[in-house]
Amino acid sequence: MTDSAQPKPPPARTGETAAASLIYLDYAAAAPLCEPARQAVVDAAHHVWGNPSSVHGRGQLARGALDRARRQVATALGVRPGELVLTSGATEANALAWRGVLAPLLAAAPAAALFGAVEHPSVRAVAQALAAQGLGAEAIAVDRQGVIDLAQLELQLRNRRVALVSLQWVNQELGSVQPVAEAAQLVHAHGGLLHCDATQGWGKLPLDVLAMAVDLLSVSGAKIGAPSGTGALWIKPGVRLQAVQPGHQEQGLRGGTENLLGLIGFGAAAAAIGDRLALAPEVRALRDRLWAILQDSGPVHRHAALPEAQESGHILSVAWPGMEAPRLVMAMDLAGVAASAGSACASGTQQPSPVLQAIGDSSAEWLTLRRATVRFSVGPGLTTQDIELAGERIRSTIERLRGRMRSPD
Amino acid sequence: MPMPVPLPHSTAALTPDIGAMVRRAMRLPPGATVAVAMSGGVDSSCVAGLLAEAGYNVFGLTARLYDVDPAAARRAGSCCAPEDARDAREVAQTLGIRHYAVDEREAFAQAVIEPFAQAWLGGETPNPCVSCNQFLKFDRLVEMARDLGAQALATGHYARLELRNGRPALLRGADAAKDQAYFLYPLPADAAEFLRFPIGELTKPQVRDEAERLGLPTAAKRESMDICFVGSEGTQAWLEKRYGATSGPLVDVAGTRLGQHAGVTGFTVGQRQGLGLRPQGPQAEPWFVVDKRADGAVVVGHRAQLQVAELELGNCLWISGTPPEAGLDLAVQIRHRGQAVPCGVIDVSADGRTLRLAIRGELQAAARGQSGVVLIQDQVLGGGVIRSARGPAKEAHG
Repeated sequence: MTDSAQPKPPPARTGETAAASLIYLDYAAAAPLCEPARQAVVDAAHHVWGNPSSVHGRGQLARGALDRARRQVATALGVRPGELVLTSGATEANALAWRGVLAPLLAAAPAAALFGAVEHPSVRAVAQALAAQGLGAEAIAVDRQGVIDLAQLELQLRNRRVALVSLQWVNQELGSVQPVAEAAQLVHAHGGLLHCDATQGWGKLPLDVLAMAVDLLSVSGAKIGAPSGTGALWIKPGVRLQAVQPGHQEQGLRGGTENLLGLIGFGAAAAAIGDRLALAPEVRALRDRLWAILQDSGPVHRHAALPEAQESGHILSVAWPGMEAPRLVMAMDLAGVAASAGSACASGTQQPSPVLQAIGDSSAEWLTLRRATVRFSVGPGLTTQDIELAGERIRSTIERLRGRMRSPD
Repeated sequence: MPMPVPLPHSTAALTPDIGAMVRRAMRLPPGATVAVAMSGGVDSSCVAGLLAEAGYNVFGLTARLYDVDPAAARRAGSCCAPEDARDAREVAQTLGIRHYAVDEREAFAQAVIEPFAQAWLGGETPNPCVSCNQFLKFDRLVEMARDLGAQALATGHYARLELRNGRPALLRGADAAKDQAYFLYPLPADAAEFLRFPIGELTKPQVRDEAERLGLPTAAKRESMDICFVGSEGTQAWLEKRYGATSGPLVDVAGTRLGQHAGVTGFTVGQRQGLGLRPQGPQAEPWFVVDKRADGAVVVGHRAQLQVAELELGNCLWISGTPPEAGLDLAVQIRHRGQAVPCGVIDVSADGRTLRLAIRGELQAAARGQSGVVLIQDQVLGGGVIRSARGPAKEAHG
């Protein structure tokens, strides 16, 4: 999978470089648009428009397309269409789960909620915002692999009455799988609800929402080949939420005219989730091949090297001690490899990745690794040749930078 | 390789083969990888555009230097605020080149903002643009560009860098009204070999024309003369907001107390307004600030006491690595846009870091902390920070 990354032909000529054929290894940030989604969006752009809430034929056409998309997403998740709230992505779905459950409780009495220490920043952000309104929000500790400690969760559930627990399915920086079903059992035994952010696991591991026994589940379109700005929150029947943005759409839980074209693409990508899942072993093999190549790049550390059943297979988080990750990411981009330092939502600043902070300690050794950590993530569309070429480009970038560290000119 | 003889400025302005000028300033074959320090202003945007057009493999770097006060965030035109970073990104997208924003807030606070504030509070008149060049552009950005595999770092400064006998020479920009060589004097030789100033042969109107021809969104952007992190509120208000007013006595050069001032940050050497003192003597001579003491006293005197006959520069840096020898016909410039005044070396310390100059022309109001830049004709040799100035009558007023 290569990407010319040129939004339009530039007026000025730029030099030929490897960057002209950027190899995209940042699927965990956003996967390239999959063919069914592209096709559906392009087709719909020709004839689907109007407000799905309108009574007339034009509105009905829009409504029909939206209903179809909703059904496609529901089918892919193994749930009913009426249980879904279509959103602008997993961040909004996460915020709706938290605010929707907790705001009415907080209005009446103090309440508490827990979240895994390596949850996506959007969960931590809404937890923090609600903490300012009196919510008792606490993190559940994780081990070096980023996996929560169930014994600690149980202790936390015993200590106080907890209304909601958020636990992701797969970690966005490490690929570690969380014990969601086990956690759900514990949480239910203590009378709470479990919300699962399934963004990074969907399409990589087989999903059975009902077996997971969760109460709320967030997914994102951007990670499965749908247009960015699409996602959904599944709400188990009987779980009551308050709207964050009131309006009559989405069963009164999400006001605002729907993102019609985006959601049509989301539906198409969801309908193809089986194909994506079928490619998961191949994707895992590509990831393993990349790691095999990078092991030849001098001293390199791999985070969360877990057994196959305990990780998603699409993420490779590695550190080259002594390097600076933001600089590495730029140098690799110029060499023709797209990667990221931490998750895209945590980069753009020099703030340390909260995930790496949570799984580590304050030793100098760990700080060195943390600063030097780069995340590669792969997916369908990449070939073995892409990976070999990317591996070569990464290795030579590391070698060049090592040479500069030894003798800065 | 013999260097082409540079055209005299007047001819260059008449026959602007701009592409040729740019290639000559680059001293690299097309296809070479070049980083451009993009502030988001028209000058560095134009550099990126001209280099991309000339066939270099260009990428942009924009340093995020400080957090913008949300209240002041809407003001336009200062360098390196978030909106300037957006402008730089838009220019890069227009050109189809890569662009990276790098977070240099910590380094900038430490190397530029804090020393600036401390210098003011200590009665000096610092020049933060000089420290920004020295510690951010010549050091961290050069390092970053090298790490990213660039063969050179180009900036939008109006100055020229030439190789003379294989050694870099820093020259004034061709546009006398825009010349920025003054700010560039703390240039280490190795950075000088890596840096390029591709628009140094151009005038500002030419740069605007080129930016427009290239379709760059910043072509008509207005420019600000404010200190970027201080902004339009001005240095005095900025300092007082952070450190409070530092009032103290107004004294004459003999130390006699004449009154009280409301804050040392409100005064600059050479200033006449706002002293609240009546003109003195039969000629009704007006009062000027002639010095600011580290203890917060503002020293006032008359015009003659602003006159400088001898200047001592400390922390000197020389592009060639060695200070100028006695006997050369030198000139010293003590402020941006100031005249370079003829001078000669009195003595140099053994390490080359302290220089005393005899002033041979009219030089007034040399404030401690300002940069004193030493030139031969239009070539900057280096310079230092003004430590003290003496008047012709040998009374120290700095």
